[in-house]
Amino acid sequence: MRRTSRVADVLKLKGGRMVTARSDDTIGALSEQLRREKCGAVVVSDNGGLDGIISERDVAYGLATHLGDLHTLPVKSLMTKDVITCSADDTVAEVARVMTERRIRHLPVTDGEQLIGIIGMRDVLMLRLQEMERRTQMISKLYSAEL
Amino acid sequence: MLVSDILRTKGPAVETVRPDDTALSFSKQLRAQRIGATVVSRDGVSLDGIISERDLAYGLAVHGAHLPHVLVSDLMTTAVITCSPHDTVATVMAVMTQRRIRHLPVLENGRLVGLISIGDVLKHRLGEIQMEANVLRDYAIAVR
Repeated sequence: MRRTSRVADVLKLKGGRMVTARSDDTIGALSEQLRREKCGAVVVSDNGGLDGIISERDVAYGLATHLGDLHTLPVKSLMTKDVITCSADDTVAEVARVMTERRIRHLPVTDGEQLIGIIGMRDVLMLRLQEMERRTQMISKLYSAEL
Repeated sequence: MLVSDILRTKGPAVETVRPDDTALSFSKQLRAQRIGATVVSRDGVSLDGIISERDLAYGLAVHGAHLPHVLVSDLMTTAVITCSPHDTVATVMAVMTQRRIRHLPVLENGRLVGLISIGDVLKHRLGEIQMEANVLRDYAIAVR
């Protein structure tokens, strides 16, 4: 049987590229970055560590309270500081559960204090789905061989 | 499993926003309902477009301080890919992953009947496979 899918496999899918912002970047600059990179969230990192995460949702919801000032605010004023993270060894099954239960789309991947990547819900759930399809096929093959 | 099965668990209500609403009121709506996208409809049944949190976030790069007053019709996507209640979950999942879209309005006879997200689709598909795996496993154990 094929081994269990892990976060390291998700990172491999992405090719290891990670977009980061700095906590004193403006939300205006961040929105340009999101648009240019075609991504939905970026990790905030001032010195290689993990200072926070900020998503298109933070920007979209932020408009309701900050109106015309939104683009001038620093990233640190809207980012989530209490970030849920995972490690490269975590199983895809476990992070899929965390993402669906907590309703979060992006999880930064850390190795100790060091930031090594970010994974998105779409990639996680696709790998989880493939894994479960493999497992179901395997069980059904095993079973039909027994008959 | 069909799109109509997902709609049944989500309930029949379809939230919409009007094309002449402002980005500000759309932002308030997203926030209040904790959602990521809404169908744009002038009357609640016709489909004029779709607008998401991404359109707001990316729109800030273009409109800056003026964004609160920009109209939904200037930010929305009008070339909307839709599905029908009779489509299979596997079909819409393929459309969503290939086109990299997160939301599909559901139309029946040209009328808007729902909006499904990639989250809804994946959750149902995973549930379906999990159930299949459990049934097979229980069966295999039972016959041993």
